[in-house]
Amino acid sequence: MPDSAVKYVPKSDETDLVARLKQGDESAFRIIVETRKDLVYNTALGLLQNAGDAEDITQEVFIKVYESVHQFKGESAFSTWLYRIAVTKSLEMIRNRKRKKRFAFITGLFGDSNELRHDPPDFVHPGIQLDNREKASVLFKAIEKLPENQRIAFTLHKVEGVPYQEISEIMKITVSAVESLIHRAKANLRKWLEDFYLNEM
Amino acid sequence: MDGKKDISRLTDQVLNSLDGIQRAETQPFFYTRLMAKMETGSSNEWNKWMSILSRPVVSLGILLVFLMINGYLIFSKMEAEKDVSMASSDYTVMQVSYMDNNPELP
Repeated sequence: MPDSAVKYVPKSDETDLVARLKQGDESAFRIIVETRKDLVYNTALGLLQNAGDAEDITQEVFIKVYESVHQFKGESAFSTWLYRIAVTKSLEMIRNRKRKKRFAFITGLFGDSNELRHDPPDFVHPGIQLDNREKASVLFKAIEKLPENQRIAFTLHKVEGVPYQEISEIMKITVSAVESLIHRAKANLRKWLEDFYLNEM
Repeated sequence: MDGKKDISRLTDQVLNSLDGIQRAETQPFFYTRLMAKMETGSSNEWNKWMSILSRPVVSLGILLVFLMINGYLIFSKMEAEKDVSMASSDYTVMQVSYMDNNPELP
């Protein structure tokens, strides 16, 4: 579980901040952004595997929060709501990227072949310990191959350290379904990695 | 055999490589950049619409509607031309009949 930069905001303060934001208090918005930006950024980075895109999504998430905070009823934790928006926005970007990749040959015809964008270099998460970076880079490449739901559950749990209970609330599924997704994700990753290293030998 | 064991060991190491990961942090002055982006909201609206329009389903849907309207217009124009040509042929027949029936006229 990531243990740095976790800025804890007590539940009562969180409720108060959300109430103030609903009344248009900009200082409340600033506190929410400053205390939650890394949570959103790390989630987006884990899913998108690109620092620039993760920054864009983090900004979009907070714009969405500012514009639709009145829709937040407080039935779940505020962080759960934030995670949900971050995941949804990140998935939109991933789908958008896939579309761009699919039509890359068309953009290539018009001389706009953004090769780096369509085939980005290996991703290295900045929070990985130095001696694990090479292995983690291979793991992130394998995570990209996972089906969407397995990818979300695995990334939230392993990269952002979200407990199963909260993942179930974010994804609106049962805890046992989350366990199953993560179990299948690990099995798929193991298979992909074994094939990968077998071909390397 | 050893190769398989090595691969299995390496796979375990890779799967555990995220242990102890630290949370990634945004670049400094994130809030300032966020405010700047919020102030240029209108251009984002344009980008949002462009991104919706560039979706294959949407663009193909628009193309299909366009082709259907085009087909309908061409079809209705052909129908109208057919009606005109039928009316003119009727008129020609009537004229011939009239002349045939009145040979004393100049």
